[in-house]
Amino acid sequence: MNSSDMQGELERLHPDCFGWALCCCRQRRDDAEEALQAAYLKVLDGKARFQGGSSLRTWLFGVIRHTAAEQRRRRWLRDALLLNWYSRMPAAIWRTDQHDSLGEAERSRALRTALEKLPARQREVLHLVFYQEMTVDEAALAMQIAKGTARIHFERGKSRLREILAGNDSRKQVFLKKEAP
Amino acid sequence: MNALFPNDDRDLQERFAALRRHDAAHTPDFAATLRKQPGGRRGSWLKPALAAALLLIALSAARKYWKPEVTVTASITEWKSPTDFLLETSGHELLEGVPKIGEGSFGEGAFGEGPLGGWQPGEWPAPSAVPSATPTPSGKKQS
Repeated sequence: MNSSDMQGELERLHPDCFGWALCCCRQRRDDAEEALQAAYLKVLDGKARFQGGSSLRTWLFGVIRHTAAEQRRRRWLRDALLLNWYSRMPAAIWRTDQHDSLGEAERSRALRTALEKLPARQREVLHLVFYQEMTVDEAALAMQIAKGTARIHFERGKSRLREILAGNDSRKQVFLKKEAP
Repeated sequence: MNALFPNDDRDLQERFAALRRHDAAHTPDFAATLRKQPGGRRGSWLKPALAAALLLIALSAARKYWKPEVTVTASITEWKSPTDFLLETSGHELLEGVPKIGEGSFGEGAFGEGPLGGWQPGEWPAPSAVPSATPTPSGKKQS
């Protein structure tokens, strides 16, 4: 696959890749864009080569995950060395545009918050299966972990996510009851 | 519908689908992502780096010119009381050592060679300061 073909494939997969990069960067939009760009450059410069052992998307997700982890480590070091605590950007603020219905935006925000409370692997496997509609085995391949491990993280992640979401919903109902006259 | 999802996962599937739609509406352009300046937040750490460098310079300058007050503390073995001399009684040097026979202030040889230590009877030292004339009070006539 030559460079222009690869660029076309990247463009086609870009929305999925952006969603995955957000998941890998704990929903920080700036970090996700940075990681995504670095991953694309790796692929286009030939530093990361697709060998055909899996689908292109699965392989690309592995590259993005690896790049995001590299950047996270580098950022941690940079923050620790340069006392960069005060310039720490807040997590990306998600605007509610006119295209979004208010309820959907609120549900999305609640899901993001709940996902943040999960361990990284559980969050990633849930994202790959539900958001990217991969199989658990494909998710295991993208995450470079054993299939059995991925299944365990998937099951535990689902139940934990439901608990968190149920807790949020019940708190919200109590709040609404208090607000009502 | 993904055949992998059992019915009880439909709630999560719907939530993730909503999230996906929301993200898709805010996905940055592919070309813009590729063109983005690498390390786009460089400015965010440049300021702290500069501040840290200035702080280091200031600290090193302060260290150079700041001289702490030096207090020399004597060792307890070297310390002497200011009233120590009161304990030195007269003749204390006699008590500090064991005298030897034949030595010392009144022993043999204290006065030089010979049985009497070189002293001869009748040898008295000549008077050295005997006035030759008695001074007379001024103004009085001498006979």
